[in-house]
Amino acid sequence: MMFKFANPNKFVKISELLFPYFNILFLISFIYGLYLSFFNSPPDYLQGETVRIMYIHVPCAWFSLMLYSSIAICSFFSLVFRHTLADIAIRAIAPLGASFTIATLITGSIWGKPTWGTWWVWDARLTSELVLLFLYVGIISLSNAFEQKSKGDKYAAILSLVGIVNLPIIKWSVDWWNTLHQPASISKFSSPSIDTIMLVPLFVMTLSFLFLSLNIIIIRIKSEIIQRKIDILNSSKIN
Amino acid sequence: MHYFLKFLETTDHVPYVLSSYFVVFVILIIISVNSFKRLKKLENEIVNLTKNEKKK
Amino acid sequence: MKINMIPLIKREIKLSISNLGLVISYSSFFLLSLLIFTFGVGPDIKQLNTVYIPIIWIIMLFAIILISDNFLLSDFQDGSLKELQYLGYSEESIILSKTIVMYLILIIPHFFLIPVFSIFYDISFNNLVQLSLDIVVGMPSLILISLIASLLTIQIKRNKVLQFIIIMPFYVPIIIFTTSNNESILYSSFDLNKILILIGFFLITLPITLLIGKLILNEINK
Repeated sequence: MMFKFANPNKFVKISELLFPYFNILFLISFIYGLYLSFFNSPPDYLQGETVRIMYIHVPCAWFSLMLYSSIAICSFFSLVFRHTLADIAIRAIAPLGASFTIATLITGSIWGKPTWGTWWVWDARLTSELVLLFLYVGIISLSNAFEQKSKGDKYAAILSLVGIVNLPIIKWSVDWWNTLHQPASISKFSSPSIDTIMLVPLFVMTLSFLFLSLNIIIIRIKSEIIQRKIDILNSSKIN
Repeated sequence: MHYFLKFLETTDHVPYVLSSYFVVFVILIIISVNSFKRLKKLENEIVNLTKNEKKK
Repeated sequence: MKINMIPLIKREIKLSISNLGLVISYSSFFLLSLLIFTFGVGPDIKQLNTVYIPIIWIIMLFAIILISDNFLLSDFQDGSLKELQYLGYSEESIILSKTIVMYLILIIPHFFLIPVFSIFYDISFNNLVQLSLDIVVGMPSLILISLIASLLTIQIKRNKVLQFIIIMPFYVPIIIFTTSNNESILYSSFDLNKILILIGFFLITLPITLLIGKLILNEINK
């Protein structure tokens, strides 16, 4: 089944079916998320109104990590099973992941000023997120550095697999180093330490970001597939 | 509505919250528009290429 | 598949000895960079005494990245990398032999450079011994990571700075631990934990480099 959906043309057909639904779901969840963030969420007893930044900063952070994991999974499929769609997916996902990482760093910095009194601090979580941005930049630069697209794809896949080592460091750095950043409030193994009234807008905004990401990834993969078709047509013309 | 009105009253935190939402929206709009424009451009290009191939 | 690496290591040593200018370039780059940093930080020896560790490690990092190309580029350009694989040597043994020889060649200048550091930065004997051991144990990890960067960018003719962009994030954990200031510097005592952590990093980077190197060499030779 995995190999069936790895066919680029099949992917385009499925994505064209799903795209309008993702659009609708994104709009609904985004508007509802904004409503919950501003109208239904009380201020925090310590941070005050700046807690509303959490509803946009935390989903960006989650997606910056999640998209890198998906790049690593695609890299595995690209190197082991030689799926062309996996190579294309890496090219499509990397710029989006980098955008989310930049958004995380900027919103984190804006959140830090009123909360901690400083725009930036070199603690483990912030530093690891910055390192993740450079990993994304490295993958994007390396994939575009070669004239032959296939070579760029393979080397970018190899680099992203090496970089996956960085992800556990980001996740557990808050526990390893006792620093300024707030410890993880949401964990799989224990009940979250934030109230439901704040958890619901957070998850709704995360859902809206998920549908938006899926839409952007679908558009970018389609572009990449068409670009490759154009390259084939142009090279057959030259021959 | 009560929470939103109270939020607007706290003048020192409003710029931080609104600027962070603005930054995220701008970044996501840039990447969405950029991706969509590129797709449209490539779709037109491949339609023109296939038309030229058929003419030949 | 030939597992015997001795002929490979002998070959690498012969090539490196014929190119001893590399060692002189490495040492000169190191000393000149120390000079630049000293001009940047200031002449106060007490201040320099507190920052010498990060300065030395960062210069070493840049020097190793710059030098690592020389150990791979000529072999790639004249087809020796392909030829060695056709002769039956595994990709892992090729990379391991290059790592070993690069380490042996680059550790030699440090025997002369380390006493120079002690004079420039007024380092106590115990701290000097700690620094020397850190360099001996920590350098293999730096070399292994730099080899990955060189292999990834060996076919790129323009934009060699990409090597730095790709590989800098992977140096972060090693730099954090090698430059961690702790009580051992204040009390001039020996810090075994740091050495063990650096050995741990070497044991992590070694299999990763060999695996990644094998993948890259297979791609290069397609």
